[in-house]
Amino acid sequence: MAYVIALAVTAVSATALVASVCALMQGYVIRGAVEGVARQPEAGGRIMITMIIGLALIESLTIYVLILGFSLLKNLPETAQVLSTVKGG
Amino acid sequence: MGIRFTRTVLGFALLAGVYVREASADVAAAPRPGEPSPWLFFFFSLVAFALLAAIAFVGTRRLEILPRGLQNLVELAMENLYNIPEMVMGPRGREYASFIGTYFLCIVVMNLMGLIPGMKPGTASLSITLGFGTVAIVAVQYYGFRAHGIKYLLHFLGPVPAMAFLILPIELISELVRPISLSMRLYGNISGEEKVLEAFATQVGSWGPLVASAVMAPLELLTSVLQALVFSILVSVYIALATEEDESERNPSVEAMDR
Repeated sequence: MAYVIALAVTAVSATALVASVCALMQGYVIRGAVEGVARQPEAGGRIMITMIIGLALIESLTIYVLILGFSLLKNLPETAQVLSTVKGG
Repeated sequence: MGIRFTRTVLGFALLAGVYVREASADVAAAPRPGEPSPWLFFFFSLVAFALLAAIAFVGTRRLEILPRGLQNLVELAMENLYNIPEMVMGPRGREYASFIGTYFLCIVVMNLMGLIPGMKPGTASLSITLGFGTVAIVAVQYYGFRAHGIKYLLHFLGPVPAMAFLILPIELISELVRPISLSMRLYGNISGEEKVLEAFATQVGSWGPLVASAVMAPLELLTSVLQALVFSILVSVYIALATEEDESERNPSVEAMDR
C-alpha cells in the first residue's frame, strides 16, 4: 500500500514541481522577448521565432519528467484491486 | 555516390529503424486491454507518408509558370520550407532544405492526424520519433564528414587543445543525447496530447467532450505545428554546427579574387 502511495505521490509531485519551475523560467524568456520587441519593433518576427525555440527547449525538460511520471504510473494497480485489498485488510 | 542515392539510403534507414524497433520493443510490451495496438501508429505513419507522396506527385504534374491549384499550394509550402534552414544558417541552408523540409512535412502531417477522429498520430509512438531522431543525428555526422573530411572529428575536441581530454567526453555525451532529446520532446508532446484528449473525451463528466473539442484540440493544433518546427529548427542548428567553416579552412587566395 505504501508502494502505491509513494508511486502516485512521486509521479505527480515531481511533474508539478518541474512544471512550476519551467513556467517561472519561461516567464523570463517571454519578458526578454517582449522587451526586445518593445525596443525594436522591426525585429519582431526574428525575436518571436527565437522566443518560441527557447520556450520549446525549456518545455522539453518538463516533458522528460512527464514521461518518467507516466512510466511510473503505468505500474500502478487498478483501482478495483486496491479497493478490494483495502476492504479485505 | 550521388546525393539521390544517399537520400534514398537515409530514407530506407529511417523506415528500417522504425520497423525493427517497433517490431521488437513495442509489441513485446503487451498493452493493457483497451489500449490501441502499437501497430496502429505505424500504420497511420505510413498513411501520412502516402498522403505526402500523393500530394507531391499530383502537385508537380504539368508544371506551369503561373501556378494554379495544387501546384500553388506545393509552391507555397516549398517557399516556407526553404526558409527554415535559411533562417538558421543563411544562404548555405539551401542545400539542406530538402532534408529539413522532409522532416517538417512528415512530422507536421503525422501530428495533425492526431486531431482527426479515427486517426492516430504516428509521432505518438516512441519508436517512430526515435527513428526520426537517430536518422537526424546520423545525417548530421554524414554532413559533417562531407563538409570537413576526417577533420570533422576535431570538432569534438573543443576550441582549446589543452582541454581536449576534458571536453571530449562532454561533447560525445551531448551528441549522443541529441536523438533522445529530439525524440522525447516530440513523443512527449504528442502522446500527452493523445492522453489529454482521450481523458477529456471519455472520463471527465458531461462537459468533457465539449472541452476536449473546443479547448484542447485547438491548443493541440498549435503544439503540433510548433513541435514540427522546433524539431526541424534544431536539426538545422545541429547541421549548422557540424558544417560551419572555421577561419582556417577558407582559401585566402580564392577569396581575394572576389574582391
